Amino acid sequence: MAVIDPSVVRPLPRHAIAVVLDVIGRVGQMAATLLVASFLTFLFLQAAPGDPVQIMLGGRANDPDAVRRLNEQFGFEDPVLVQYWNWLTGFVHGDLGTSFLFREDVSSLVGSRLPTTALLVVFGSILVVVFGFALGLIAARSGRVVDTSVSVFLSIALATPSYVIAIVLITVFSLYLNWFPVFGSGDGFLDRLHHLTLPAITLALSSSAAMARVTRASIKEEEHRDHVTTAIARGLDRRTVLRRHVVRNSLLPITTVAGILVAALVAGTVIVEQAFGLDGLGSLLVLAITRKDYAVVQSVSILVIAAFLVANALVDLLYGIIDPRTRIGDNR
Amino acid sequence: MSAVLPAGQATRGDQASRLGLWFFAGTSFLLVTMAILAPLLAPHDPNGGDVLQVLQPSSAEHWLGTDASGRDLFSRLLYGSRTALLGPLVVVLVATTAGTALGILAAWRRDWVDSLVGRLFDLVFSFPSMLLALLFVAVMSPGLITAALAVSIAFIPAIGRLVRASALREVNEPYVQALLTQGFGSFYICSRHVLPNLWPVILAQVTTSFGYAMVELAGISFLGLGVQEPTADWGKLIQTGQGSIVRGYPQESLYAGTALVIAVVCFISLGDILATRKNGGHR
Amino acid sequence: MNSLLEVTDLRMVMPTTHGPTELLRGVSFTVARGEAVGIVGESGSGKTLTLRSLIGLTPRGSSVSGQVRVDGESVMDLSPRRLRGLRREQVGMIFQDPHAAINPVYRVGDFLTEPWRRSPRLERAAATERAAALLARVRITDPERVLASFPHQLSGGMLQRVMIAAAVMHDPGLLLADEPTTALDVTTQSEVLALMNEVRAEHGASLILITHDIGVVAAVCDRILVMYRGRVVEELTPAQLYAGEISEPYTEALLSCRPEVTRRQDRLPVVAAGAFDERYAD
Repeated sequence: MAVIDPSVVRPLPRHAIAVVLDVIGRVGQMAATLLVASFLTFLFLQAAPGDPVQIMLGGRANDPDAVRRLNEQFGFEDPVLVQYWNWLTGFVHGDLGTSFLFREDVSSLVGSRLPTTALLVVFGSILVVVFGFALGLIAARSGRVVDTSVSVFLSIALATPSYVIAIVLITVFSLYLNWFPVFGSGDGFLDRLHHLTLPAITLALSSSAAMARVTRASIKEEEHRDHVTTAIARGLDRRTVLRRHVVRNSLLPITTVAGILVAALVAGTVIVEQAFGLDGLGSLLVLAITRKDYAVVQSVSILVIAAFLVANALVDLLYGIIDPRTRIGDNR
Repeated sequence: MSAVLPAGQATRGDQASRLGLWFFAGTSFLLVTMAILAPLLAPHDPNGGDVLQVLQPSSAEHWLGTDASGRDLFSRLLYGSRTALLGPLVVVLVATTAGTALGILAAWRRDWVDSLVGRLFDLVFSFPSMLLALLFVAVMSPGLITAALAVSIAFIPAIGRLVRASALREVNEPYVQALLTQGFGSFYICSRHVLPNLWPVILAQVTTSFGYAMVELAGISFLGLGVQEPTADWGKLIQTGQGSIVRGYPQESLYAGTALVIAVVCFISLGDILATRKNGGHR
Repeated sequence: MNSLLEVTDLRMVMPTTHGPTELLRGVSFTVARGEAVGIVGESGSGKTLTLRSLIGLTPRGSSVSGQVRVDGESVMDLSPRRLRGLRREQVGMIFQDPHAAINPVYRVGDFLTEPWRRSPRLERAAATERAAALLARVRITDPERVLASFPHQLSGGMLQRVMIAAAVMHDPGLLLADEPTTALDVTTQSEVLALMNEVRAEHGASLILITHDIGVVAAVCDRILVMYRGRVVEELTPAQLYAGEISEPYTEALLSCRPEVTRRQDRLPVVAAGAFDERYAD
């Protein structure tokens, strides 16, 4: 994009080292937060009433041998810190514990359910970014009538919870119009996308509305900036001014919000998966909580928090690319 | 460029906000009244189902029809408003009390206590609120109060940060210094002088939070982890109504959903208007 | 046409909820080729609006009437394309705060070479050379470093030179400067002013300079226009100014507001808000 000869830029190695150090710092911070969060979660779940062995054995709880075997296998009699340590070392090595509900390793459970959730989140994120940004841009550049009607639509979308949106969409598009299936995740990539369309829209609607709002406000604000006037005064044409000066500069607040919204999508999958009967991580979590399968609850919770934190961290990194004033390595 | 500030612009916005204030406050009041008077207004027992009258459409007997167990939907909706409004009330009371206390404390001390409180807030914030609520419910048995407590904890940082920001401004005001030199204790100054000045901000935030708490709590009930059968609750009704949708009867979920959205829009808009008015017409 | 610029009865009205407000109430003046004209007045007198109207940068929703002729062409009747051409090649504008006026996310080199992306479309190396030559014109000694820098890495004075370079890029006949030195410290101020004079003299360009500092305008300009509430109330030369041949009481008042280091004053004079309204009411 630059017309300037890049060999003139400051020596590369120094800048790259600063970037690497910064990334390491961030990853370290995230790991620390995850550690604390996982420990607190672990402690918290320990406080749950009921003996885990009893829950697991159900009817055979009277058999002392079975009880003893389970206690040995899972180390339920060990002190809390030891149990946590065992869990942590296991987790880092990929052993997420065992689900008594499904009688299989949590890691394989997660593995089988992750694709659905991941696809849902990616699909939803694309909707949020593309649809939200486009709508906001249109609203910012249009006349009063379009702008106001879009605003009204956005307010409604923002106020409606995702489970209500799910019901409305299911009723209209599945029940009456029969365009989409009501439940399930489907087989095969295209079929999956078909099944995930309504869920993705549900997941993304509120966030898209928020994104549109921020985009609109950001662009409107940027239009009044001095550097935009300069660009116009220098005789640049409208499209160039819009693209290179108005939109480009308003990207910073827009990207921040986009990052936060995508992170929120991760949490939103819990409700959406439940509403549409999808076999993803969110519905797994709800099931595990209902049936008190704590191994699953612990591991899945940490995964969700991790995804959340990673999404937030990526936003910070994007800052540096979009706004050179915040780049690491610059001295001013 | 010389700023031409159209002073007249403010009046028009003012009028609109006053209209909105009355409208939303009125509707909120109606909702609360409806909830309190539910036993008097409901024509049928919300938990009494007639198996012979399953999934009936609207009729003179059942104004909004019946659900899959033959229970009158109108009565269930009315009773549902009780839990739908009670939960957020608990959330708001707990979160506001704790959040305000922590916020003022942090603003007053401004030392390591402030940092500690800030770190705590950050930690709670790093958990998505839904997850936090779910963890709570995982440990304690599902129910409205459990869910409400969980959501309260999740809301404390938001209110706390807001109060802290406002309190910081108050604490720097000369009158606080004056009171200190006169020998009044910090607790006295905070409770009798700083706090009253923060009321408008807190009240606006409380109203908005009430609306958001409604959304969270109904969501938890929707997942089956909040209000339990057979109690009627809007979030719960949306869930139980799902089964009927597939059979071609979306009424239960739709009615409950509509009621919820109306209430949520009401409270959040009311809170927004209060916040705007407090700032003199500017956000 | 001897004058490069002819402004005749320029009026601007902006609708507000209180009814239409007159922002410019019949501004008329001319600028000859090679002449430097200064515009002084308090905030809100319409100086900036007038300047911007010369290249058609009027605020959204305002209605403008009157005539603005640059080199014989009426600015207000130009097609969008011709207007862009005017802004690009015939008129150059210099803004007050270079850090706000230059887009902070692009390097200085990208800022300078932006107009050359389309017509004519230059190769990288050629564009860099041209940009470096431009910077040399404004007395920047290490053009390569400046070209590769971001605006926030340069000082106000340096950046203002860049802005001047951008303004004279196509050798315009008319330079418009809106308080170009207000954001700078005194030493840099005189440097930048001297630079503007030099650059102007190179091609015989005319200059319209807005400032609230009468000292500046007296040092640089051939003629001074005094504006108040959307009208030009007096025209005089620096010589007349110093000789005290001032006809308008407003100009007197404006002059007396300038604090002098050599004279002790117990209270600084001010121009009261509505003091001259009656006199200049329409």
